[in-house]
Amino acid sequence: MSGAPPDTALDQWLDRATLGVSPRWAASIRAELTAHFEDTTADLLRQGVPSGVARQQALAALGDPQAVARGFKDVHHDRRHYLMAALACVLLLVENFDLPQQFLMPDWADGSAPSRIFYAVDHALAQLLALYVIIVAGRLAAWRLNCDVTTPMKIVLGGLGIGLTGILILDLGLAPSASALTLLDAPDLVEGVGFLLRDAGMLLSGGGLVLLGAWVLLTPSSLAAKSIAAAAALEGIVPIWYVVVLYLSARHPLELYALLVLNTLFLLSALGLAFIRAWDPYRRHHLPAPTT
Amino acid sequence: MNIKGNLPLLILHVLSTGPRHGYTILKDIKQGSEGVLGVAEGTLYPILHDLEQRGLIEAFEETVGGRLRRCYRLTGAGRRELARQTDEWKRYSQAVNLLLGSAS
Repeated sequence: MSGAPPDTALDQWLDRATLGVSPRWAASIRAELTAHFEDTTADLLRQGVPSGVARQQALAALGDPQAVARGFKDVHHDRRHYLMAALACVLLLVENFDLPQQFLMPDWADGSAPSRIFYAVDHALAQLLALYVIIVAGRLAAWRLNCDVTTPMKIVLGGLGIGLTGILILDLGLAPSASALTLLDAPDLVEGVGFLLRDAGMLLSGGGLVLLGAWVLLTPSSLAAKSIAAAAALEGIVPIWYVVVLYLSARHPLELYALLVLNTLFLLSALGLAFIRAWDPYRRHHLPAPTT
Repeated sequence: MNIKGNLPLLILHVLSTGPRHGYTILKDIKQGSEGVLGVAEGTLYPILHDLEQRGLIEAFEETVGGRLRRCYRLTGAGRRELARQTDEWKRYSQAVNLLLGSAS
């Protein structure tokens, strides 16, 4: 070993040890760990260990930064995200059963300007809420499992964005008498583009969710994480199934009913998970579990 | 010997003799066990923060050697938890010793 490691070695270790930790705590944790590192280094220097070696040994003694990050994230996780995600799930459940329309009972004609604006806003809000729930789910996977879910997350979020563009084109542009359901029977170019974007978005976001679920299932993880991942993968199959059914045959009440059931199950499980993470009922009752 | 699972008990015990910061807690554990007990040092801090959140210890800032340090001391709840865990540990180790003694 030769020479002192640059300060960046400690900085990099600290970056990894505080990865995903609430910013409210990160600075104080860095200061505490830096002080520990300096104390160890000072002790080693007093024992006659050369400076560079002392710093390397002090850094090695701190251990695996990922294990430290996991510990801190367990203690200092930001419950507000999970409460917000729980609220988003409740709103999506409300939307899932078309409750806004049923309660408001709009008296405008289908295809009228207020009706188009209502559905455009309704669909946009639902897509944005879904986007938020997916972001929290992705954060949870990255946070809890320390696995990189960036690629499937990008696919899901990209798909939701593209799908939303298509939905807005259709909501704001579709003629009142139109009976078109897919790109194949779109009466004009604008609606064709709308259908194309909506369906491509649904396929992408569905595929991304399946990939995200599979990603977590293949990572060494707890049974709870695996069940949620399986639910996400199942939920990803829903939009794919929806598009396939739409293109291969006419829409059928049975398919719509199954979609409703699957969506509801997924949202209820996500709601339960968000509440458990926000409330965290187990932590007060036991010390950290033995790992040896 | 890795002692991560039992670290909370040892932290509470060390703090029962007076307030300390993280580095001196670990040093006391190592010296008190004649170097037998050890842990990856960084993992001490999440456990300290957890004990603090559960109200078993409390943190305060103190200047040590010209540097501001986060120190910890035991609370009343921590003292009661220490007594409970110490009792539990003694019963556990007696049972294991009994078993190992009868096996030899």
